[in-house]
Amino acid sequence: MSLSSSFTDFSLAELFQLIDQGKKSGCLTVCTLPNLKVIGSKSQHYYIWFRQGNVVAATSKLNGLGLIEKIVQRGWVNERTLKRLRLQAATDTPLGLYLKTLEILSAEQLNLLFASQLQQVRQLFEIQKGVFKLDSKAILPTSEMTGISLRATEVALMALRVIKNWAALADALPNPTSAIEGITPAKTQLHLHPLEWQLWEFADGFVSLNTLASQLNQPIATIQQVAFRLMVAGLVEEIPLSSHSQSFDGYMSTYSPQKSQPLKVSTSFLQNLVGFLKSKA
Amino acid sequence: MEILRIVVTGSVGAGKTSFIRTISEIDVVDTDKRATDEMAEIKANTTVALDFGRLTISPKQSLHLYGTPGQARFDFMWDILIQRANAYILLIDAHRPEHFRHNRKILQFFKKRVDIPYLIGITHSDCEGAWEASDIALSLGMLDEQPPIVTVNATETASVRESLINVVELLTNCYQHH
Repeated sequence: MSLSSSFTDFSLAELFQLIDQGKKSGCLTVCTLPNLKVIGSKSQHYYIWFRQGNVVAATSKLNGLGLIEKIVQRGWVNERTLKRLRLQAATDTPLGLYLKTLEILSAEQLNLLFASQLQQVRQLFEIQKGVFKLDSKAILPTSEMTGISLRATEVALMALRVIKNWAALADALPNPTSAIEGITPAKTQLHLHPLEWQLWEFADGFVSLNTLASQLNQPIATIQQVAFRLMVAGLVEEIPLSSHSQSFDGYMSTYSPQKSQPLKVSTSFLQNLVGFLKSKA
Repeated sequence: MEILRIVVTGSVGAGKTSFIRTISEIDVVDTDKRATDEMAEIKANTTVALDFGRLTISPKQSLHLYGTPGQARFDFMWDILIQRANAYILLIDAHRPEHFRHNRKILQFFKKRVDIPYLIGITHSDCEGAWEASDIALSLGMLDEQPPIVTVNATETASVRESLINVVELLTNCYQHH
């Protein structure tokens, strides 16, 4: 069984969170579907490689020349030299790292190349129609790798901060009538923006996003987007509120930090039940 | 009369009604209505109120099974069901990733309100495009904990019984540690 679906069912942001949290490795193939409203629109393929939940390379071709083309485009090294050096590099050494070792490229240049790969990845977060498949057995392409990696969650977070069109993620956003609740201790390695910090502070699991939006004097759409970023970052969970407790008044009247405890049944009953179910099996 | 109440929940089409119908000694109180929206593509009928099934263990002991309504909205019915439940089973259709998000919300809704044992029942795991149980667990946000996951065929009596045995054993363990 492979990890595959379409973006209408499972967003790229959620997928990146899953890959990060599952510390997955392999090649994620993304295939965009042609836009039927645009003449000549074609489907396109993108490939993103992960190691232990970190993005290590991304390209739109599988010819193994993506990184070389980026270096040549910038006029840093000519193509012939690069192809020769690629053959000399050890099979398990990223090409970028090898070039840095030879002092052909600097650390800054490698950062720029990796940022350029991530730029391609970020654009995919706005795709509305497309399919994906993660091949966890794929071998990492050292010729496409700079040697730099970044947690999939961080890549998703960066993408979600700059995207303009949220239509692709409309169904993934938390409901305005839901609350959010913090799920990790109050610290994170991630760099959060001020509004993200602020919303995280209010993530108590009882107050709806609608209420928080009005308290923070922000449009509800902004609050939903910020809450979604916190969800993808693994810092909060969406907590649906039942329809009769969504207003602030409703919240105050139904607020109950104590979880309810149902009546216990006797141990003998449980034993009888297991015996009953086993006897009929 | 001693009653053990188990809530069977999950997205539309996951097999909640089938699960209860397969094991219940009484005809399940049928509250299915013809679906009129996008649910119709998945399931011609969906549960608008709740399903109820029963299993009598002895004259003074019975198991009650309650299925949650199929729609996405969490209304007062859900609250009432949860508050009285001893345990719950979340059925997840393995080949419908589009429902994983909603299943995560259901799980959070329950966890926020009650601290009772639960079982994740993976259905349709033999269908094309089905996700692995470990990936489904990740999609539910289960990272460190060892989620109690089993594969269930909601239309097979033996499979449903096995799931119920799992839930009762979880409940027994829970009582022993509290």
